[in-house]
Amino acid sequence: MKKRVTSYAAVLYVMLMILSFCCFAPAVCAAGDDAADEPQITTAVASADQSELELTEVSRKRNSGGGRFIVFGFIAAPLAAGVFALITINGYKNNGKTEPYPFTSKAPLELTEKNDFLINTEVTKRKLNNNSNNN
Amino acid sequence: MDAISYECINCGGPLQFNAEKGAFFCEYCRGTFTEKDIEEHWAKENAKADAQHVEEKEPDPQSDDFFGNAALYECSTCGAEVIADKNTAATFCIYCHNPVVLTNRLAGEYKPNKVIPFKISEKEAKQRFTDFCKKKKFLPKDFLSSAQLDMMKGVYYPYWLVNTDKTGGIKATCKKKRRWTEGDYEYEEIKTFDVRRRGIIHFKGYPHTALKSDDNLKALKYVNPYNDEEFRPFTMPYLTGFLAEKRDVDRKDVQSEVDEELKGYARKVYESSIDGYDSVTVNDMDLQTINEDWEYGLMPVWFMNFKYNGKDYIYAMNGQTGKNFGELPLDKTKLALATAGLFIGILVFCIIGGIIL
Repeated sequence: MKKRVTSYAAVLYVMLMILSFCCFAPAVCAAGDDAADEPQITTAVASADQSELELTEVSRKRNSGGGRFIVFGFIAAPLAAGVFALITINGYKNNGKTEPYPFTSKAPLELTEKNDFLINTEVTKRKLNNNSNNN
Repeated sequence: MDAISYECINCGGPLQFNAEKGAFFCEYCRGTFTEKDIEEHWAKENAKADAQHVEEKEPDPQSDDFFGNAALYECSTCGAEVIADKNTAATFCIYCHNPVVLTNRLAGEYKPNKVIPFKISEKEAKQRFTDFCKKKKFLPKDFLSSAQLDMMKGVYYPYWLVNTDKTGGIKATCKKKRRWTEGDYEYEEIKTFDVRRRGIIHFKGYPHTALKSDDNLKALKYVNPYNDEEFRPFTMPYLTGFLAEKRDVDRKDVQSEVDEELKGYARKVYESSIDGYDSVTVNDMDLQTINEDWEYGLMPVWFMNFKYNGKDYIYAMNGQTGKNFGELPLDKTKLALATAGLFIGILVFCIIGGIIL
């Protein structure tokens, strides 16, 4: 019974992922396409109303940002869920696996020789890429 | 085989070592006795019991192989015949549930040098286990039942304890890095050192399990360390109320394994004496033994074996410090639902955020 429930949960999980992707991927692509089709640099149109032009430009940029946020969700959601599952499984497996012999306190060292010989010195330099634009 | 149940001096009820009180306790008359009280009483009783000691019964040569690895003994309280595994040194009679110590199992070369008595009582061990499990949200629903908790047993496990002085050293190549900027250039200086450390390491009480093959060996390793200051000279009464195993490996059987483990620790000790460098690469190490002394001790462990979905799980707790080790069963359905919930939650949040933007 439990095995059946577990397998149903797994199937439901996979179906949700596929369904989410299929529902929202076209909207994401459309938003992306809208942003890609329109030119980023506006050309001055002598007869157009300047403010109307600015509003159109802002709305295009907004659609592009929103689309990216949705795409980020499709990447972050399975990543976060996978990491959460792995951390949980690991936490149930390796409880208490710490150093069994505290050698720092139980194995004191009586040093009889301590030598550090400098054998080589190497200096390298590289030119920094300065930003020469003065905007 | 001599099977002894330590009886209360006052009323004759079964005595057990009480971890909370650190003394021997009778549940019937609530009397508390020290180790000295028990020894004096039993010194007199043993003189009388010599003529009445219980012989170990010879196993039937026609019987199964199992009997070749076990022994029969007669419970001194109820007279029942009980089989004990070849390594068992203390147990409970399955009929009258009185604690029984099989004295011959821990005699001669198998007599431990020292023992750390249980400091954590059964009640506290179960409470600690329950508290430990409460933090785990994906345990099976019926996992913390009282029947499950009753499976926890206090066991004295045998360990070899090695005290040794080793001399040696390491040679390492170490690097120091420094970066700075001048004008349009970034400079990096790397200094390479040939580092040598030599010295004597005094290993104290290095523990190694003294059981040949046991599924619980990993757990027995990771419940360490114990506090050496609480070791006491071994006497039989400490085992009453608990199970105990005698060792089945000799020193020579584990000598090479212990040497390899100590070599690994020696390397860590020498490396820890090198500091102030950005990278350390050990090129060579040598180690020789100056002197070595092995002792055999019994250490307390609270143990639980359980099965879930056909898989065996082990949980062990240090009976002195409470340090625990073990694998717990995971309810995969709960985990799958939680993961799916997290996935949907993040996705919905990002979609709504994307639409608003």
